[in-house]
Amino acid sequence: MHVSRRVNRARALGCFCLVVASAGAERRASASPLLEIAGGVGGQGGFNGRTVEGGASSTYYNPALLTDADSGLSVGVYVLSEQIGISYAGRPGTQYAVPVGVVNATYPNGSPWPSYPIPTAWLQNGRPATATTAALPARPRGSDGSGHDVFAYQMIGFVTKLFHDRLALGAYALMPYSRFTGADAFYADEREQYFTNSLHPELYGDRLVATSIAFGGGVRITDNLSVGLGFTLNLTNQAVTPTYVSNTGELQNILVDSNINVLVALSPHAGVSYKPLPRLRLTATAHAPEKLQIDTDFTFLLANGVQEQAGIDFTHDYMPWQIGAGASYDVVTTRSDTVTIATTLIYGQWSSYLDRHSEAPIAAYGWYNTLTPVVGARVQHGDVRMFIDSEYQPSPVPLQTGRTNYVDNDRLGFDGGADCAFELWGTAFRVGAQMQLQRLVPRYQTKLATPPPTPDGLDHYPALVQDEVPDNSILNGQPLAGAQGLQTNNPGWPGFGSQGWLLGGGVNLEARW
Amino acid sequence: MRGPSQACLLCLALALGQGLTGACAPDSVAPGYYADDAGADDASELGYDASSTEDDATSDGAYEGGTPTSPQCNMNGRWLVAQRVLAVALGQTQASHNWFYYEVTQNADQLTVTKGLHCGYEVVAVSALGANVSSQACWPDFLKYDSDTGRTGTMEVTPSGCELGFEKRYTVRGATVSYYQDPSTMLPTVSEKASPSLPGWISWCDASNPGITLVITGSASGDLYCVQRDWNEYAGAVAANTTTFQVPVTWNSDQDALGYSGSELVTMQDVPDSDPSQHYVWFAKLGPTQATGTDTEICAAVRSLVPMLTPDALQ
Repeated sequence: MHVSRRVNRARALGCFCLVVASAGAERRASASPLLEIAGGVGGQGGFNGRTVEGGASSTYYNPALLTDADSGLSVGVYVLSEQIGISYAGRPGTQYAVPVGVVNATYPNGSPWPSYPIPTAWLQNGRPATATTAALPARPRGSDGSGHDVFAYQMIGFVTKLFHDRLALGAYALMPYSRFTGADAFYADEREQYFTNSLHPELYGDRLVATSIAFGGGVRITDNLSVGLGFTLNLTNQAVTPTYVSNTGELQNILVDSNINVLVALSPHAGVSYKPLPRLRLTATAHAPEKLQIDTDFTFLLANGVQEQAGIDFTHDYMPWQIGAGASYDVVTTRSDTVTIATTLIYGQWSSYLDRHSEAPIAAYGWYNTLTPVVGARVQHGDVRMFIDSEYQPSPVPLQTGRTNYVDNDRLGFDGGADCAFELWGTAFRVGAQMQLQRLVPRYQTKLATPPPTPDGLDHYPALVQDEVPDNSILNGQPLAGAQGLQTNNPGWPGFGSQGWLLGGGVNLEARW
Repeated sequence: MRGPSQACLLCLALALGQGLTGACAPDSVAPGYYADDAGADDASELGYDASSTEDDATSDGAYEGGTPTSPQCNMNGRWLVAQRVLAVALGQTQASHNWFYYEVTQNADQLTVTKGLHCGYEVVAVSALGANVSSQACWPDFLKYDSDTGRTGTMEVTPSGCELGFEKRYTVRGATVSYYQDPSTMLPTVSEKASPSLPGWISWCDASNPGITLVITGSASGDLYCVQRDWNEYAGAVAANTTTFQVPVTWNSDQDALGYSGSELVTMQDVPDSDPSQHYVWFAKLGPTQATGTDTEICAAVRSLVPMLTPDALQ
């Protein structure tokens, strides 16, 4: 909607205060993790951005709706706080601890274990220095988790029209102030003992500082039908680090070169908007999968001429195929007032999820595809617009009763906001504010018991918590003490729970022409 | 005409910030059991006692030895011999533990090992990036092909006690022992497999790999196929009337890698650590009921007795 009326200073301030007082904000869902969680910043899209025009943010949520957006430049500041708490169940006894000294233990035939856990006592209490080895700091279970952060973002949006408003081009970005993008990898099983020895929310944290830039355009084919096509960035970082090691006892003196490439690909999304009736709008959207991929290769050259190579891939900010369908209806339309109700249903193909180590969840605990309903309303009275949305995002993560510890919860969210149009120095502006509150519904899971070993010694239950100390282990030719039964450092064992809140808010200003 | 004042914007930002940080869902870890002893890997904390007494020395009457110069410097008897040396490869240190069984006859100052069994060895990492080596699959072949029988030495009376010495002795693993014990010979290459008429490498360790097969873990892991030629020499002062004691070792090792699987780092050749105090051998006199039976049974008993009789030899 374009506002061309002049307003005086007092009215401009009045509009602004009204916006602030509303303490609610709208945004819309979009494909990047951050954009999907935060919804549209600026405009009236909110969580219903796939169905309702949201200014520049429609570039991401449904580019077909750009044809209804005002031309202009939008800027805003948004702050999002995640407060996700994880509760760890107490370990029931010391017999489940990995004993000290296992590093030299083997199978009865002398072959080594596939991997060696850290003694539980060392993790919890650290290990003092010896004559030849520096002290190992304690890394207690649950002491280095994540999920308690506040992020601030700069929103920038732009919309322009061409060909008598038949073509609309848009750009939309939500950029963290702290860092352009972030990617923190962790394992969702017992391997995390080697790092933080803690659990981490799977779909938040570093995903809230994901790259969130979208470009797109919409075409008004008829007065009632628009289509749009947009793109977000798919980044692939390739890092090769040739390393020369003159002495493995002095790793601080290694020589390293680097060869880093950043490849940019475009992940497409498309939308359609159709108005079969003057008051009714139907929309459909499709967002292709997105991810930030990091391919890392290491090459080690030793002084004796031996050269070794290794590589590991990371996948961050993975978003699956998302298909949306929505409808909005103007229940009230008068000269000065409009009341619209809107709803969107979003299908997410989370069964294709890849975690940060590019691993798919174990098949026995495969992720669910989800349907996320969104409902909301919009009210326009003169120069003032307000919206409120609610969505329920079911968690794609099944109860983690096995080896993996993907921490996630169902999420119930509310998003609302208001903006006000005014004119200043001959230019039309719209100032707005919005706020959201999302509840991560409490969830708790207890790990299933690991079956006793079978005579063939093979692990027939790889989906369950792993016994990290084989029962038939030997040390110095003798059976390893403390090996019988389950020993594990899986930080999620014997159970864990999670719950939390997302709280966000911000202000924005749009200059229109 | 003016827009909203800066003060108004600041107030808004402060209000939002306060609201955003107000929500809280702290992490919590319920009390639980993790471990009750962080140092239980130290053999001395496992209840093992390395001390011995003169009573031990009188418990081996069943063994018939010679006549020493002095009864205070008497090596006659059956001995558990546990050698510990420190090796360095690429700046990382590993401790090598060799276990032997000696039956020694002493006449005057002269010693002869009338039965010398090789009961196996292991290598354990000492520094953070050191390697662990298991040769367990090879122990039966070490016992079968290697021997210290016939090794000679001396046990002399000195003003302060006794002086023990065992001659320099070569041990060959994974190749024709009699031929390659001569240090002037070159260890075989992968193309030099032994035949009935020619020396060369031999598949030991119940495997079809060339030479011996060592399983290596730690900072590098894999299987190493190799032939080895070690030598050691024992010499040092011993207190009188002692039945458990330690003397210094000088040693070196030659290795020819014939193949590997896993990391190429497993082919690293190590060298003795420059600190001579890191190389020593423990002798512990065995009682008449300890380490008896067949050679295999004796060696199994020796290995199980090392942590109790000579725990320092496992450092």
